[in-house]
Amino acid sequence: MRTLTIAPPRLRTRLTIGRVAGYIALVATTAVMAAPLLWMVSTALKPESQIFRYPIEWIPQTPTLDNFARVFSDYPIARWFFNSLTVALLTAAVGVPLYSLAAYPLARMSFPGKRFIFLAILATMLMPVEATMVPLFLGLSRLRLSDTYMSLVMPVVANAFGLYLLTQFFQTIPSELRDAAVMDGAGHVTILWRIILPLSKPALTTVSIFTFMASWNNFVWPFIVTNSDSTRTLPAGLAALIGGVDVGTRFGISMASALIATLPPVVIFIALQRYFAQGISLTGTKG
Amino acid sequence: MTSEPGLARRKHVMLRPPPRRIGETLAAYLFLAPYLLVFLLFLLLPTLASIGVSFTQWGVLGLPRWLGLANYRTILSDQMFWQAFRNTLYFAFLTVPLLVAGGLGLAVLFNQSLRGRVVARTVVFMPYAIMVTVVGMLWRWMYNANFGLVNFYLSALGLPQVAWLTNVTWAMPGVAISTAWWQIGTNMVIYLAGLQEIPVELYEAARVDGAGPWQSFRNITLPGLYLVHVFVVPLSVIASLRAFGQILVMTHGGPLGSTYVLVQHLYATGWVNFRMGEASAVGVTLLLITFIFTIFQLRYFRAI
Repeated sequence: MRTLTIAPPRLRTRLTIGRVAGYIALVATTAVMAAPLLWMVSTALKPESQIFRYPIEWIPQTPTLDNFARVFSDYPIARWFFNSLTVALLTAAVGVPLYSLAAYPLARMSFPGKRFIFLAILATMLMPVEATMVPLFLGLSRLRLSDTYMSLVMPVVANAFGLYLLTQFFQTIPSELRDAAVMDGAGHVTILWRIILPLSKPALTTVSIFTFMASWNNFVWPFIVTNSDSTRTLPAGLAALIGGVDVGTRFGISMASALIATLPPVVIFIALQRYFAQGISLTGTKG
Repeated sequence: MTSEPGLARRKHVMLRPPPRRIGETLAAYLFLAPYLLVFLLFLLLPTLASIGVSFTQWGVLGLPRWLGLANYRTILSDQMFWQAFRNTLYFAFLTVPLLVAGGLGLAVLFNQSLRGRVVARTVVFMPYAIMVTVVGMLWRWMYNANFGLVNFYLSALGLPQVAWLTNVTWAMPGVAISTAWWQIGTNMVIYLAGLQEIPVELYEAARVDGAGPWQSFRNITLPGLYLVHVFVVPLSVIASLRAFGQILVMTHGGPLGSTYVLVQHLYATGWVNFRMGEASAVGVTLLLITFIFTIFQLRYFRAI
């Protein structure tokens, strides 16, 4: 409709002092924020002899994959990677259906105790989960369940963030659709399955990504509860590897393993950025 | 006197139970049951149990022994606890303003119609996808005293070099800056979403009335983001009180305990010294500190 209107004369905004300052700030911020990541890549690709150079060199003179080969041969990083991936996928696979089921009554039904449950769940989101680690560790150790995938999956599933997010999404779906379905004699299961869930595909994607990332980045608990390479996740394994005197100042190996741990989530992140931003901003402005 | 109307009301409810409501309630709880079970077993129960465990002497093996408040007396008379407490507050004092004011500043900047702002936003938000251990590893190298990137550019700008992570004075600011780098994009995204909700007409009206950019920011943007502040500030504080992973990798709490924080104290008490009761007392104290901080902030924002 508006395609025919002639472009207004001020479409090309003049370069005022304010805009120049804006561009300087934009470029400076981007450079400062990107520098550590580029430096990680640069270091990972340098042979050990070229890492300690002063003044620094951004482009490796003779790029090499030696550091990566050493990481894979000296440390069970492939196994840690596999563990992290499995645990994160399991967490999302268990968590998202549970959140979907629970978010439905919280967003769409009225029943006694609803307010209490919702507030209790909200309160735990503000709580440092580190406080729960001692009893959780003691309990799971007694049951001989520590150092299992289950011990890594369930505490993250219990986190209410995904449920909170889905509840917010479900509330935005117009209730006329539901009312029409009720008139047609549909039960709650049908309404959830046939109306709410199909309309919430972007929301479900967002929650799946967040649950996956919450598990992928989970550090303190896996660091404590895993004590073998068969369950140790990447963040826990890397901390044990770097925290020990093992690597010391061999920054080539350190940055190569950092890059291995960073590349997959960053690729996912760039591809699905919209969902990340959506999830984060929804909690912030609609809460 | 007081019980009569209550009784009557209860009778009224008992006499006429709306049949569909009981079905509704049952259905609601059936939907909730699977999640609530996990929530109870892995979050609520451990939280309550942590209070119980904090009153006992409890090793990984053997039976617990009741100690009353002895664990609290022990941890509160421990120098390390107070050092961790002070360091945690200092860390929060350094990071929260960076994260909140910085996140807001970047959001305002990237909300202007500047070319390349989409790419810039992505770059600023990207560290969110990096795991905490990698943040520590990366910045350990960035801060290397002799060959690190930070010192190289400091001296290029004519500023003095600093032995960041091995210097008692600079280790904590160093850790705080790296944490801000890691987390600032999250706050920026939240503030950006908040900025979209402020009606453009308000700015236009202000411009007509002769308001400058600072006045617009002060009188429209800041109050317009009220709901966002209520969310961002407490969450940034909570995240700072819980910081651990990046610090463990970067400094291991050193040098001389200058970056030793509460969660590391909890970890060291429980899993290095194997004093589970005391570790639980540290955990409960952390819980209380977080709770008090959150209440004060929500009061300040008049959210409760």
